[in-house]
Amino acid sequence: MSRPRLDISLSRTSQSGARINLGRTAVYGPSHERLQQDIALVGDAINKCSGAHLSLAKFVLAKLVREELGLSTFDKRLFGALLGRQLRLGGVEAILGESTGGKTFWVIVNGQRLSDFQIALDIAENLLIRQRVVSIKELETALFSSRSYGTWSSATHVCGHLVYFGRAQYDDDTVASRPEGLDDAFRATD
Amino acid sequence: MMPSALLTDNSTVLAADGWCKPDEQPEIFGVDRHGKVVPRPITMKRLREIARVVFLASKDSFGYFSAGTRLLDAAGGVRGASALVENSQISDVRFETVTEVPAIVPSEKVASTLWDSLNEFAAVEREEAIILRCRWPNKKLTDNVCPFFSIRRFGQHYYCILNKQAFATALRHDWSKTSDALASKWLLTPDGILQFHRDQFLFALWVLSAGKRHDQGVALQFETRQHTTCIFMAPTANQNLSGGTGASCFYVPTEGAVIEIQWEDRSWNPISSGFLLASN
Repeated sequence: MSRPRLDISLSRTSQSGARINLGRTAVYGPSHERLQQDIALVGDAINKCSGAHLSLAKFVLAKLVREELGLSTFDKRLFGALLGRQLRLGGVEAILGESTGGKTFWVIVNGQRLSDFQIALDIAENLLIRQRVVSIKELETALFSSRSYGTWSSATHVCGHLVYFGRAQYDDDTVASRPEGLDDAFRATD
Repeated sequence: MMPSALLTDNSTVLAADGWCKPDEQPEIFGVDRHGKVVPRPITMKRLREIARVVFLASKDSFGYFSAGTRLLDAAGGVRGASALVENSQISDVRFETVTEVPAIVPSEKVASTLWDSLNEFAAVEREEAIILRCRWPNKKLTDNVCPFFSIRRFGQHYYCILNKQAFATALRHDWSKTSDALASKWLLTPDGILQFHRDQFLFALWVLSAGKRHDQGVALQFETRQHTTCIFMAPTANQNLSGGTGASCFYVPTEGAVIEIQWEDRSWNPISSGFLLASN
């Protein structure tokens, strides 16, 4: 059975009979019913793909959704608007992190897996407190029973979140540590 | 039947001791038929149900509501929180908001609630103190010691070390100066903007009200109309007239307990997170 072709577009054409605003972005389709159907189809794919992973970068989620829907391309801005819709409806959540370059980033976590992400944060922080220094590879092993697509990235996302709130720092691209003196700060001031 | 409104655990109301949870106060502020901000007694009931939680932001305020919360828009119309999320037309709605607070004196309980909300973002927490990572490496340390916090560097980052008792005392003595001081050391970015995580909304409301108290204009920014993880506050030279346009509105993935508040005066609307509640 061939996969359905999406009839959503960012620009109005002679075939566009319907328009829906998603945030600042207007999307067009041949009819209101078809447009809603296609939007729901992408929404379901976003929920499905994000649910299969602990966390995903936006561009990776876009790739997985494109594959899931059997599309050859997926306009970046269109995907952004449709991902925004899933964020608006609470199917997924954006989690903050900090990169090794000090930049803030956002990763997508499925709404049903937020507690899993919290558990991963607790595991990672306990490991850091115990060992002081943890490589991303060690963290990946601690968080996942086996390596698979996206597990290394999710370990970096967990680490990035801890760095954002100052619970960890990067020693280099693949190693994080507990900031020196942080856990002894109260002892020093007592 | 008395007028009532639905809120959630994360909702905020304005009482004589400041921004607080709805279950903390027998009397809260609202707006009467003359547009005056006045207190009225309320009763609060925790319903045996849970509901979806909505985050709503306008260019003047922000906060969490229950899906069943009804709000007054600037034209006096009633808007359901869930309808605002689902119709995706948030930028077409304008809200009347009140974030300039009357004379308030924060109580121990309100200070403790605020402390608990800061605790969630601590790098390290103890019963009497917490350590919060500063958003900007603050290189000048000379003015970084005040009675309730100090700035120190641990490893690569700078941190605020906050003492609970000293913070509560400072907040009760001068809440606006205390909120400002902490925000400027903890959350100021190199761009000169305060960057709050969305769940730091309670502290953000105190800081927003402090700006109003000091006649400091504040421009609120959010990531997108469909979702935001952060609340950005940029100081402006003057009190800005934003018109209260809706800025962001969405469901959060988690559900929350439903709280019902009731009051007697039908010509009065309670304030929640700066927005005016309509009766159900």
